Amino acid sequence: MSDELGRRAFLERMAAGLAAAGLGGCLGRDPPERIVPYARQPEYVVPGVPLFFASAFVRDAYAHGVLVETHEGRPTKIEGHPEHRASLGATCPFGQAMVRELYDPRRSTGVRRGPEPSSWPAFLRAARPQLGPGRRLGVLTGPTTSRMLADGLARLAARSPGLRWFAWSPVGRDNLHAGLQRLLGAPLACHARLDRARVVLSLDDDFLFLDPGRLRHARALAQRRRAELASAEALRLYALESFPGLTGAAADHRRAARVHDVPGLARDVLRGVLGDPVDDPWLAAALADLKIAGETGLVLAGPHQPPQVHAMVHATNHVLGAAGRTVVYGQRLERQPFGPAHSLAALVTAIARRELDALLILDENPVYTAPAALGFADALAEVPFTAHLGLYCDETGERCHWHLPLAHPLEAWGDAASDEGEVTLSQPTIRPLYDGLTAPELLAALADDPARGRDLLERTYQDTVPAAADRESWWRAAIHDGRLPAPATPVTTAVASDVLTTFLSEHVPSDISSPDLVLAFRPDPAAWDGRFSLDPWLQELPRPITRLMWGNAAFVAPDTARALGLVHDACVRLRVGDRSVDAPVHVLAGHPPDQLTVHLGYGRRAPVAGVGFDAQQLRGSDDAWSVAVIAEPLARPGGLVVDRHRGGEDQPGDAHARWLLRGEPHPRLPSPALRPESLHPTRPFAEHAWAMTIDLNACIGCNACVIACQAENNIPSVGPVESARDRALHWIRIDTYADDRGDGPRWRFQPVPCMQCEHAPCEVVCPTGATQHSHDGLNDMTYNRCFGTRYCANNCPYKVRRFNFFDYPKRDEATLPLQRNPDVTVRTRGVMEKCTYCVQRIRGAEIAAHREGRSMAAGAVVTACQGACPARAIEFGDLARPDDPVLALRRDPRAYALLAEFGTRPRTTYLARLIDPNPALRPAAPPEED
Amino acid sequence: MASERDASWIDGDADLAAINDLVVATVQSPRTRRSWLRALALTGGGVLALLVAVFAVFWWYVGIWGVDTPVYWGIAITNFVWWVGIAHAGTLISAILLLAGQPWRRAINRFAEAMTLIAIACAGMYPLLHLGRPEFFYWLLPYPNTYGYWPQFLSPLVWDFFAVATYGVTSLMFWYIGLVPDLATMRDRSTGMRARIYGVFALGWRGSARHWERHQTAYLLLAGLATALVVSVHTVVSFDFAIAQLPGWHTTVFPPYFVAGAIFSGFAMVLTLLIPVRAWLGLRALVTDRHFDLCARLMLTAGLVVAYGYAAELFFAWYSGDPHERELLASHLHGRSAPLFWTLISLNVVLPQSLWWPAARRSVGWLFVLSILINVGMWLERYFIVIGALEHGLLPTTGGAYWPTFWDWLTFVGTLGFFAFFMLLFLRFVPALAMSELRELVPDRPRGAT
Repeated sequence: MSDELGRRAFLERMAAGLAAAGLGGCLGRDPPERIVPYARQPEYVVPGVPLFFASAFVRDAYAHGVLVETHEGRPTKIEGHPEHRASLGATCPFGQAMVRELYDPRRSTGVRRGPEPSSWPAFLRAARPQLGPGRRLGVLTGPTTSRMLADGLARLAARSPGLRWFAWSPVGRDNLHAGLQRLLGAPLACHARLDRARVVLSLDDDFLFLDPGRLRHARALAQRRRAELASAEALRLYALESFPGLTGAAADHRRAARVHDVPGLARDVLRGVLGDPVDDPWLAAALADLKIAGETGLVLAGPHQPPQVHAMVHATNHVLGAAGRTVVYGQRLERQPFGPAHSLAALVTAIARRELDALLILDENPVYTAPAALGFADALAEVPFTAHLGLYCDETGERCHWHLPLAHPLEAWGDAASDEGEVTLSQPTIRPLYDGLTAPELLAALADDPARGRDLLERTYQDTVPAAADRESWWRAAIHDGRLPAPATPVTTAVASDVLTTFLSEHVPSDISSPDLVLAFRPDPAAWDGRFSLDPWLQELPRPITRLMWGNAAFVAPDTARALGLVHDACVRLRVGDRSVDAPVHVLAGHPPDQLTVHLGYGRRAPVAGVGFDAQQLRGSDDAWSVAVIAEPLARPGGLVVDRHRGGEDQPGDAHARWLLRGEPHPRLPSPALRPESLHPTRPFAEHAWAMTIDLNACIGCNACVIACQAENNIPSVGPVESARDRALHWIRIDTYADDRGDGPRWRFQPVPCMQCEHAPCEVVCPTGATQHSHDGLNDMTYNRCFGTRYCANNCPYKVRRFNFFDYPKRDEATLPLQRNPDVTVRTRGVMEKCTYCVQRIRGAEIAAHREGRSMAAGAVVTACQGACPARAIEFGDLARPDDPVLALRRDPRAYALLAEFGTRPRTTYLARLIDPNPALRPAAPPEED
Repeated sequence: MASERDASWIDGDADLAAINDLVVATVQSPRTRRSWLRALALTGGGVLALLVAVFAVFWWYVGIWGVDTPVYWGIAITNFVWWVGIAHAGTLISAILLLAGQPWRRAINRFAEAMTLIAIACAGMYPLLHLGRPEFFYWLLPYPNTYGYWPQFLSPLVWDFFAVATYGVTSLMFWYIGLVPDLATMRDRSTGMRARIYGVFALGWRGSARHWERHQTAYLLLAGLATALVVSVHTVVSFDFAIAQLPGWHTTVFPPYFVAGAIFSGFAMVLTLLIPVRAWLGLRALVTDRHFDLCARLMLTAGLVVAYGYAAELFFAWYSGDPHERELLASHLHGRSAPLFWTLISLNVVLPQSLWWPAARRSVGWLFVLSILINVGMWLERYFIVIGALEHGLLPTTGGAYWPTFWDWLTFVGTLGFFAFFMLLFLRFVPALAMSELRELVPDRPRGAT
């Protein structure tokens, strides 16, 4: 058998090698410029020893720092950047999926002229006549904080004065900027500082998902709600939501509100802090709390709310005294021109007036993302010369005269700012797999400027290099750190009282007769605006709360569904004006009434047909976030793919995802130290005894751990058909419970990896001994000894074992195997697999300690899920060390073991969530134990 | 065994020669040949279906079946338990009734043993095909190898493998040893190639007193061994479930309940097959309605034990106070699994109560219908045990649903065809009734020629 697998593994590697050869030998070759490894190893590639490079993940202009783990020249895994303030060592699911995108075999591989393959020189030859004085070139980008890009455009504009820069994003933050502009009279940006806040009121702002500072916020929330804080010190979060999201689930008080009721509520909040009485008891309680908190209060509004709401919310913050404290204002970081003259609508108008000779679209996909009413696709055909730079030859690439491949962020130099203005650099970690350039490189080439990425970076930021410093070593340090030591300066702001008066007297949209049924648009938790919708890792990730996978849906509250005759998992025809789209219905408790919500980013048509429906078709030309809609039920089945790991409404799961009230005497929980009688021998601790604790009080259910585990452990995605049969292979899952105690549903998340039971029920039933206990307390799988009886999985009380029903890894085409972690076995079909506590990392740390002749330090092993967690909910350590934090956490009064009564003695244990309700709005007490 | 002689077990005045004629005719007579060929062709289609289904699972792997998370065992295991259950009747009739001195078993034991053997072959296929990597099924065996592999003997699956394999081998030996004198009769009554083939398998049987003496000793000894196995094999099969800690599986009543269930379904299958076969082959003289009556009584007895099993399982699920067991109980009685549960209760518990009435036991038509319903009911019971328990998770988030796929059903239909195909071959080539034993039932009369 060992021979057999050896041969197989050998063939696999041969295949990977051949694939690499087919890519022009891009592997193992360093980028032409100097790049700097993050740490650890001064030598370059040491086989078996990964190198970490600092880089950046950018979503809609804003960056968070990442470290890219590379094995022998292949980026395989994204980790957070511990020293980057927007990351703090964590990542979001999108950031984790970067490596999968890099190796996506559907990426564009070369320059295309129409459908024909072409070349960069041919494109440049064709493009040059479009430049120069008198030529009218349009450039369309997304929102960007990149100075390199802005510089490149400025240089090109110097050569071609007719250049006009348009910007478009289907999910941008323009409303916030417009609101701040109105309130403060200056082009400002802001970022929240939850670490300074005590009472936070979110007006439809799912900041744990939408905000560029989401990772920092998650950490701050966990820090400010530590168990040892008394109720008066801890952060209390109120959330009003038009769609159930992470923030509402994390809140102490949550309420559903229709998207167009929020402006009125925002005005009530502003009036309330100014002293007017408020009728609504919920809002009154929140306001009372906010007023007590004063400068530690914070009110936030969702980016999809109109500018007026942002203006009122930030006025409220000013009244509270929170400005400059819990919310910090600074210069606007987005560098694209702002305002109606530079919008997509302006571009369409310019085309219609024949004001453009050529159009260059940089890393945007407006043919897909533009609201259908705008007629962008037809307008595009009117432009005599169009070129599209993108990772994929997508809908826009197909309709442009030229399609140009974009270098992936992991292949290229780049810069972006975090929401706090921290300039974040990215460096290439692999030579471009295909013939791609970045946008600044393309602009430089058009401007006849031969500079390559690194030169462009240095030239852009030459003003930041201190005169006294040695340029080379300064840049070396900056690239090593992945950021520039250039702090953004906060701006002091004040709101004049007459401005407040004006606001209060103004009409807000909800005063106008509100339509019967509203359709709200949101970026998707897995696809965002469609940018990530091709990524099978993200698609297979059950979305928070809804647990939907592989597609989008029209979400509706149960009562509204009944009223409209809509049935869960049947279809609905959504009609807006003369446009209509058919969508599957997802009936979701906790969704506001008289509203349907759809997620953008689905129904992709190129480079391959994607899952779901294209909600963008229904959006008005003013790219509004909501629109009046007519919903007609259809009998057709919807074909929703919903993950089953959620408790039913009748099973609140209090005994599993436990919660307690802050500051009250706790009922006794089944302590992890509890050891029911057993006939099985108790194994003494060996040198190490690995254990994990998961703090449900910190967990926000963001899914980062799930996808980090997937990237680390070579877990294949199984596709929509298999996912519908619950065959997805995630080693850690987020169990979601909902209960309703009369104040709306309350969601609780519980990440469930393998419990690594000391008395593991899986081990005794395996006929081949393929699953065994290791000396250090791990429940190990020997894949090549497993022949797939699946008895272990049947006998697992937690159902954390996953089975390879087919040969899933074999479905990975071309470049995809390059992403795999060489430290982890790729499993064949017919074998069981499960969480290993990242045993490869444990052994790696052991070997490193052994080689250096020392014992392992506490915290030497960080599992993939632990590393990715923005809230630091997961702690991993060694029970055999008296000083290990895990030991203390297991002795915490909040600690408990899942299904402890089965006597499995799990090594993974939980810490109960704490809820800190406002006494005026107190929900029912949690159930008593024993 | 002269005391066993009882003329009433044979209808009419058949003498020794007539018995031989009647039984040998089932093999040699052309009367049924055409219908036999037609039936063989039909069931051969089933065998082909099985081949396709087995090929498919090797080619595309077990993912083509409906198994999923958390229902990791599908109807393949249901079928396995069902077939093993059916395999019980043969050895029970032959061995236990032999030891219990029941003369009437002689008319049906050969037939039931053949049924046992083929049912074991059908059963044995499933757990192996059900593996993720069926090509390595031999890892269940402690065989010499160079990489230190050894089965993990704490696993009930290893016990199961040994139990079923032992049962299969013992049943084969028992069947064959009982068959030897009859093969000699066939040899003597055939000519040409057939005579030679029967001769080889008759092992040189000459019917001498010494042969008879040794034959009887070996037969009794094997009967003793087989008796233990009848009880052990389904006990061990029940351990596959009872040893696990799932609510619905972890039940101490399972071993006797499984054995009783096996006997129950085994007799049901004997009746299902024997009633049409008796009519088809014209064996009314040897297989009388009294035989069916007794089978029905045994079936009723086994059915009552099964009913007790249901009651005990439900009672202790409630009495244990375990919340998971109680949840499952609620689901059975009036929850998600209730329709299935009440169907199988009516098929396995309610309808068999009709057998208290002699009229029902003597109605061949009703027995035939009832036996089929019991077979269906017992299949549903196994479906219920295997899948019902797995669909129900210990956490609210670990429940699931299971739907068999086309390939699941094709494999099941394939084994039904395989079973019928080999039963037909058995009827055509081997004396379906034990002539040598039946002859002992004939009361002393002036001897005819033999």
